[in-house]
Amino acid sequence: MIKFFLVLAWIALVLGAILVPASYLVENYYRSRAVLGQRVELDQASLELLGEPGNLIGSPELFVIDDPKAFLPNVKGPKDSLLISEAYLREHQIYPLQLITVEFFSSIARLGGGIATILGLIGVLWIKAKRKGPNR
Amino acid sequence: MITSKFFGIALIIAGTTTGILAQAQKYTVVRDPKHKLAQVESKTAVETFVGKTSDVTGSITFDPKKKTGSGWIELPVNSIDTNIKLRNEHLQSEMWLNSAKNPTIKFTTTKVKFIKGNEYEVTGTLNLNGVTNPVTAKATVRRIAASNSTKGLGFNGDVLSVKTAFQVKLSDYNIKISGQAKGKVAETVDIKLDVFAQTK
Repeated sequence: MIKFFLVLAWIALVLGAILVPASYLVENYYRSRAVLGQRVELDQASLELLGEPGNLIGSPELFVIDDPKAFLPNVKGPKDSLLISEAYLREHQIYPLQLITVEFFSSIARLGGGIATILGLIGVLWIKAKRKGPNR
Repeated sequence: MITSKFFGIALIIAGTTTGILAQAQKYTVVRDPKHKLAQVESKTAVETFVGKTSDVTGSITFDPKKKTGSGWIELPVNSIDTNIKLRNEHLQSEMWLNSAKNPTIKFTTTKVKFIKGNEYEVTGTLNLNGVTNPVTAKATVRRIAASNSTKGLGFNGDVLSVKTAFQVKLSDYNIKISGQAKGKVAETVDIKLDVFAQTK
């Protein structure tokens, strides 16, 4: 039984030790691909009558969108953001992933990994100490 | 003599026309969903989400000479789409906007004050979740006279573009963030409205 717990503690320790740095790597990878974007619902009437591309949806956010065709060329939105066509996202079923979402799940993974590392380490040390104890 | 008479008549016609054009006109929010959008933006720990609808109706009276106006805008709660079905259900649930009990959101103006250019300060009441509170917002109002261009775009008569944005504190409208959402959803949301209205 103790051997089983020792294996479990080692698994937690190793997985936790992998998960913490991996979460940083994944987050940094997505951060390097994120761009400040502004979703827009294009409207010909806005363009012709007001000189604006259409209805801006929400505020500028850091998005991770792989398809370059989703961005409108030669036009900038508020805060110098790139305009993202809402119609294109809808048509191609692209969910506009926000960097904040990646950061949220990364932080959860880090927390989980950190807890697993600590519990695993405590488990390994405790079981080893118990094995080496005076009764053995 | 003939020339001066012609200019006299032309001036009278021009004056009359300007007078007619400058009068207060009643505009109705267009039916075409491409030309109108109401949205609510909420910041959460996971993402900033936007709920939007094009199902906006309303009536606006605008007087370009006096630079004032009035009106109302209404939208059905169950038409708000957040891109995720489950989130839509949450938004319309009893815990949030309670669309079964309070099916519409309505903004009615009480005072319009000219600031400069196309900018106005609009004061009114917002009925949300069955609660009515006063709201003040900056609005951009632009009037476009009927032309071949507006007709070609599908508008009837003169066109009015109205854009406004304001913040709403959820607790002011009896919306309590509880359960798993507590601490993860911002207490204040941004409401934006962008509509075209027409005279005919």
